[in-house]
Parts: sequence; C-alpha cells; structure tokens
Amino acid sequence: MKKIRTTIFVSLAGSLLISTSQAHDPSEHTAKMEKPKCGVMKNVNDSKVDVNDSVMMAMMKKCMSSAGSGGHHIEGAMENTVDESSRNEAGKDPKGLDY
Amino acid sequence: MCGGLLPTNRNTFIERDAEVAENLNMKSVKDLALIAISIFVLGMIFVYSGTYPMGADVPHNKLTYWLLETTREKSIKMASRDIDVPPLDDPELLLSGGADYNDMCVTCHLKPGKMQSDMSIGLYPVPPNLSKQEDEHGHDHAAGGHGDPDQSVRRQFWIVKHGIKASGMPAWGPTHEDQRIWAMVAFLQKLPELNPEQYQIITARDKPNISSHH
Repeated sequence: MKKIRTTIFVSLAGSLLISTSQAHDPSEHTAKMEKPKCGVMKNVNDSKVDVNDSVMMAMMKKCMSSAGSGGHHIEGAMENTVDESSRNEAGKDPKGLDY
Repeated sequence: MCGGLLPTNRNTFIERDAEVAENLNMKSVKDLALIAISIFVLGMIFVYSGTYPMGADVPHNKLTYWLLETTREKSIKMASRDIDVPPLDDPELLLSGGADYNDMCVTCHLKPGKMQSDMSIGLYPVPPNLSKQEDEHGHDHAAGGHGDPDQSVRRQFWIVKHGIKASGMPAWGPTHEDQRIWAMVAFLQKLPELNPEQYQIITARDKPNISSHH
C-alpha cells in the first residue's frame, strides 16, 4: 500500500514538473511554429477597415510582421487606419475616403 | 376547594412543565446529534466501501453534479469579485493571448471549425468549447456571472490563473504572469466571434520569441 502511494505521488509530482516545464519553455513553442495564412487578407477593403475592430487590427499586424503574403496591401490598409486616426483628430478626412 | 389547591399546585405544574420542556429539548438535541452521527457514519461507510464510480466515463448523479457545480461557481464568484479588469482592446493582447491559447488550451477547449478532440470527449467534467458563446457551452454559469460581462471576464482570469480542482484545468498562474493571462482572457473574449481563417492568422506563432514575460 505504501509503495503504491509512493509511486502515485512520484508519478504525479513528475508529471506536474514536466507540464510546468513544457508551459514555460519557449523552445516547446517553437516546435509548433507556423506562418499565418494571410491570403484571406487580400480580400479586405482597405478603406472600410474599422480601427476599433481589434480582431482585424490584430490580423493586420500579424500579417504585416509576417514575410510576404500581401504585405504591401496590408501596409496600405494600416496607413488608412493611421489616416483615420488623424482624420478623427483633425475633424476631416485628409484623403477624402468613404469610411 | 379549588382555591386551596391553586397556589401550591400551580407552582408544581409550572415546574413540571418546565421540566418536561427541558427534557423534550434535550431529547431533540440528542435526536439531532444521533441523526448527524448516523449520517456521518453512513457517509464514511459509503466512502470506504469504494462503490462510488470514479471513472471519467461515468457521469456524476444529479445531486453530486449540482453540489460540485454550485460549490465551484459560488467559490469562483466569491474569489474573483474584487479583480480589477484592465483594458482588453489592444490587438497585441489578442496576438499574444491567441498564440498561448493555441499552444496551451486548444486541445481541450477547441477552436473555430473543430467541434471535438480526444480530450474534450474524454475529460469529465467536459471542458467548455470556448469557441462558442457562453450560453452555448453546455455549462450552467448561472451562479458564475452570466449576464455580467465584467464578472465573466474576472471569472475567466481567475480560472486561467488558479485552475479548478479535480477537473483537468491547471493553474497557469505559477508559471505565467498576470499580464500574459490577461492577454489570454482578451483573446477568449473574441474567440467565439472568430472564423477558422481569422483564428489561424491570430494564433499562428511564426517567431520563436514568444513573450517578454519569460
């Protein structure tokens, strides 16, 4: 009985240690590296991007930082969002875009 | 005749009544104690008999499930009520939290386009599918902040940080800073709105440098 308890305790402690190191070790994450599939972003209408849409902004940031996959297009969209911020501050749209 | 009996007898009756009442009280207390002891002994016999099915493939009976669920939700609500919720709109939080979710949570809590996994099928209690809205989880969160968005956020933060006993949900707090857990919560708030393509882009970890918090 004592042996069984010791075995269970050691197994649990061991598995906890292993899972902790897995969560904390960056190299564990690198094994799951994958590129974002930014092809779908090509269909985004730059002029209709909502700067308050954090999901869209996150996707644009990710795709901008990723090599290739429509980077220019996305950069343009990001510029528009910057312009939108400026427009909001200035009270007018410098590019005359329909948002 | 009656007048001669009254003073002495009345006192005697009152004393007897008091005595009877006291005896009844004592009996009630003894009965209650006996019932409590009996329940405890029966409970111990049940525990040591080993008859309760402990396999994850046999659900709890309704009473046990209700007791555990209610205890859990009340406890989490109490423990999380004073947590201050920071702004969670920053896209950077979604990117950080999304990648962590994909690494640490998706196996059990699933993602858009994936309705089940070995873990989601095999674990008991069944881990909620976090790619669905709260009311579609299949969990009763009535005591846990349903209808109160802030409490729902606090609840998620508390659960990610502290885990839940005997449920398969680990505590990420010991190995992850609060800021990183808040990023996961920010992502969880948006997860039910994401389609598979959006999920892939936001959660893809294309750089080895995962976080400055390590």
